[in-house]
Amino acid sequence: MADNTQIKEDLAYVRAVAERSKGAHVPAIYLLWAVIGLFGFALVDFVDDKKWISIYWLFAGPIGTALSMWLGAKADRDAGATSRDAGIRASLHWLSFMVAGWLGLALVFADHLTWRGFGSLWVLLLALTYFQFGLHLERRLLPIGVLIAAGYLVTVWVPNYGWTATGVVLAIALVTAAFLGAPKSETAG
Amino acid sequence: MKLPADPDLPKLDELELLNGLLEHRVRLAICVLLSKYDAMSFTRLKQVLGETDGSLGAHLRKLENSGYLDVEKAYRNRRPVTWYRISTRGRTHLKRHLAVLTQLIDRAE
Repeated sequence: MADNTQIKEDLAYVRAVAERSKGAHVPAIYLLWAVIGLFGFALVDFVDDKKWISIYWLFAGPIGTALSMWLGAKADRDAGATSRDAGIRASLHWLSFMVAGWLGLALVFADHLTWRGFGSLWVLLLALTYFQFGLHLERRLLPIGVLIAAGYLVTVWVPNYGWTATGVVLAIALVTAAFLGAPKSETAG
Repeated sequence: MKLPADPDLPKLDELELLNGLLEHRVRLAICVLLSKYDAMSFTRLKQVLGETDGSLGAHLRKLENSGYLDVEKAYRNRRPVTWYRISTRGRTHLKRHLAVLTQLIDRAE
């Protein structure tokens, strides 16, 4: 007969199992965004015609997102645990960042913010998005969110190569997070 | 003869509502995992649960034979993969079982 102690032990076991079943960690996604971020940030310091920055992100953003979704879904299938809900949750999280970023353009068009200010605002939104993702879904993104927040301050107050420095720090942080504590690859079967 | 009610013990009707199949912690964990994910492979379930092939296979067969799981055999990278999904029937019974467990614990605390 089930008694309360037994029930509690069983539920503790089930909870531990559920925690062990975390989704697959995909280093390739981190490396992809390290490269995209590094070039995207450095463009601000090295390209005179600022329209190339918008063009770069117009393509790099959606292509990077689509590639990340594909890599994530493939890694889940390889690891033997698929979750459409988790995929949708992660996609909506990053989509909210993109939508907020594009809505921020209204401030520029209404002359409330300069293009440079908009760039910094975009970095601040990115920091918040990474931090929230780290808080709720993938703990290793939490410190990256803090680093990007520091990068936001650098883009505001460092006139020369502040953007490039932020891009380099972001890239190093993403590469480190990609490989630190990465579990051995698991195969479905 | 009717025994006096012990407040520390759950009521008999609540115990009867517990699902016998899900009273085993491994089968309960399998159903909880499969309600969290769309599908899990045999190997992944084995890794997460830390069970042997034989033991896990037996638990999965019991759940499958009771209509709690749907099973799909496929190939991935030229290797056979057995995918498990929780069925509507399995999900309903899991929900009911967890609700009774919660009631039992609430009563004890």
